[in-house]
Amino acid sequence: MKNEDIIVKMQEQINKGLEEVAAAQKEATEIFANMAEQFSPQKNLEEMIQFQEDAFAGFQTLIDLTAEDVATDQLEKEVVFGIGKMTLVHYKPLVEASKVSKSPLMITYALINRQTMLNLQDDRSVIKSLLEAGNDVYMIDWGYPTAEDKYMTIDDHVNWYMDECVEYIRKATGAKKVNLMGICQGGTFSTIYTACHQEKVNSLITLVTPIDFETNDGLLFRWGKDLKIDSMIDHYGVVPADVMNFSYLILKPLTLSFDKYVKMVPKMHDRKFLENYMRMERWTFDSPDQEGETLRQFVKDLYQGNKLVKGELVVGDYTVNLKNITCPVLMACGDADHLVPLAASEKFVEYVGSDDATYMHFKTGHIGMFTSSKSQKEIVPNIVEWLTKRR
Amino acid sequence: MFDPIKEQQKLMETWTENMKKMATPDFEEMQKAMFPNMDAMKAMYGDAQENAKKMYEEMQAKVKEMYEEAQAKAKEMYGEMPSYEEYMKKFTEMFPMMDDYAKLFEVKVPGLEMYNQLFDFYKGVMNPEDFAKNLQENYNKMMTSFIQNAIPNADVAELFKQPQELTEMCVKFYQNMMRPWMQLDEELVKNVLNGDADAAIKFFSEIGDRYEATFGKVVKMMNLGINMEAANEQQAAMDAYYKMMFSAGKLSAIMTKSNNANVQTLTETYKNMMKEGQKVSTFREFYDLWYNTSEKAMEDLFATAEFSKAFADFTDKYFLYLTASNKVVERNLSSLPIPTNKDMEGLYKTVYDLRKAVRDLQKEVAALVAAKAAPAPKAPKAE
Repeated sequence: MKNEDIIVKMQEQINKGLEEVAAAQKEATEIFANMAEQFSPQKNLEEMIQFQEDAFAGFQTLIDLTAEDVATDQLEKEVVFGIGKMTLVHYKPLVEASKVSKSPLMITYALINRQTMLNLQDDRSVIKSLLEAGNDVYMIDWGYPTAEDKYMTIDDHVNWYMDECVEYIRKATGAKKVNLMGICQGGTFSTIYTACHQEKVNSLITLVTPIDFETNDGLLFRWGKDLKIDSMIDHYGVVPADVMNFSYLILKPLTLSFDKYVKMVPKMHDRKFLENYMRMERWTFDSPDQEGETLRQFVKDLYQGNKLVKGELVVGDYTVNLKNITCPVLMACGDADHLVPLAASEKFVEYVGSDDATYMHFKTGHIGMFTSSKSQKEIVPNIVEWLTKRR
Repeated sequence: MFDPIKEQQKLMETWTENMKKMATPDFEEMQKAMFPNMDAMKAMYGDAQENAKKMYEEMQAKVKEMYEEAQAKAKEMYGEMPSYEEYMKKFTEMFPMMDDYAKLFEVKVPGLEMYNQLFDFYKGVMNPEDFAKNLQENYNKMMTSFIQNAIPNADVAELFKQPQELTEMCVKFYQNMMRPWMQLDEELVKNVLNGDADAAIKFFSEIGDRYEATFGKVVKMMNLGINMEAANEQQAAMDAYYKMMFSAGKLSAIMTKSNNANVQTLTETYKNMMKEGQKVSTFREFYDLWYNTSEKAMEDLFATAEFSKAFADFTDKYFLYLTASNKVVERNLSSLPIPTNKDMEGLYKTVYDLRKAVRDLQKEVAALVAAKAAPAPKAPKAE
């Protein structure tokens, strides 16, 4: 092609492009002219004044609110055991001594966020429901790691800390076996523990727990596969909680960083609403830092290697085999869970060696499993009933 | 006000100067020149309070502006209305503790600056021709502002806000520094400067690859002499910085592309609403339209393999850069009577190993005590 022809062709393309831009701009101008016509000064003014009034009324409520008003985990309990920064708490039974089960329950929460989620407030407390059903409830509090904990591994959490807690409970109660309940990552830990120490476990309850990491449903699972975690862990040692919080906020960036506050303003004047809101807000950002070696293995062996399901996960002296789990097993999930999608949990009951494995799923999200009104009315009663039959 | 982009530019300029000085024995001077910038880099993590205050002040100004605009428009239709000052005075009388509320407002509600920015964007509708003309640019500015202000002040978030502004800087850097070492398609470079997001994605991919084989070799060139390790570490930090910048540019380009697509979605959605007879007559209604389309656009973008890989690469390069620059800082702190991270690392490992050794010994002791306490097995009877 001659140079002149190339120039003509280029000119034609440029003209075509300019025409397209002009047409698009004309169309957009018409659209926005229409929007300008629809603009209602009165409605806008009313809206603005209402927003201001709501905000000031809301702050009047907020200014009177104290940390004590929004305290969580208020049920009576006692620290009975501890290693390092981890403590084991024992909740005071809510039924008479003769009605307390002889088969104790140990709850393990994730390292991310705090176990107080299970006892956020009196009318939305999973712990309270378990106690009222006669369970003898112990719960692990992992504490707040600092730089010196950077070398802590999954093996340390499972085969050291969890095992010593189970040993303590067995000794304190005289029970040969303990019922385990694990939440989210705590469920993964409880599963690994049961596979390694089946002889000490009576039943295993896993809630919103990731087991099968093959799926790409949910952004964490999508991103987790590409994440190059080594540079982050090598830099931090113990990864600051805010890095984790940021990762969770950008899963729904506008909703969690912005819209939830805009939507809060009109309801802020309602003290009860604000108390509940602030409890959740405090819980959301009450996040421990993450021990680097544990996070490194969790990302590489599970999110990227899916080794738990493949039977290739090595934790200390153990190669974890899910078929070793022969006790009764319950997996319960939320259909709308954006952190742990159903695909990561639903087949768990097929992977274990147990003849008594139950899968339940509810119309709720990751946190809604524990704090929603559905939780108290439907989810927790189902879990309690399952456990009562097997403890 | 600390400007991270300017500081990084300064850092690069200093480094360029220092490269020249490498030929001289003036190494101490080079280090001195390097460190004010390093300190400034650190400072970028600390102005959240200032931002919160600014956010509150701007919101108040915007509310006043909005009130006055609405008041002017309403005057024709509904007659005289109280002035903003009168309106606020009434509020003050109703709420005597208003100053306290104002202070609370400064820090208690995140994201309000974004609300203001969105309002400004919406206000543009009053001038439809300019609005349509500058739609893309204004929208990108607004979304950049969201990333800068609404995301919490974690380390990653701090850097996450920079990619939006890195493209131009990186192209300039290419033209001024790297061009003699590598030749990229000039048409591509022009398109990047004209705001073509696809071209920018390609540009940052190519420049990253070519850097390794050309200019990067100069940056990583080994040094000689007594300070060679220190100089090597400084250059390694610069090398990590360039790689992070290329990666950030690519991520920025991918996000810009998504923002562009979202503007189209927003106008399309509005067009459909018009067809169905739905109105957008207030800011709140516009907000709902924006929120629903933008959140969906972001979720769709984040779920793509392209974003996931670019985001992973960027965070990797970011932490590699931090580690490399911290090494430089640590070396320079080593002469002071304070323990550095390197010293603490050894201590942490020793404590960890000792804790496990104590645990094992405790178990052994417990087993021995239990064995001792158990009744001795009876000796077999003599025949």
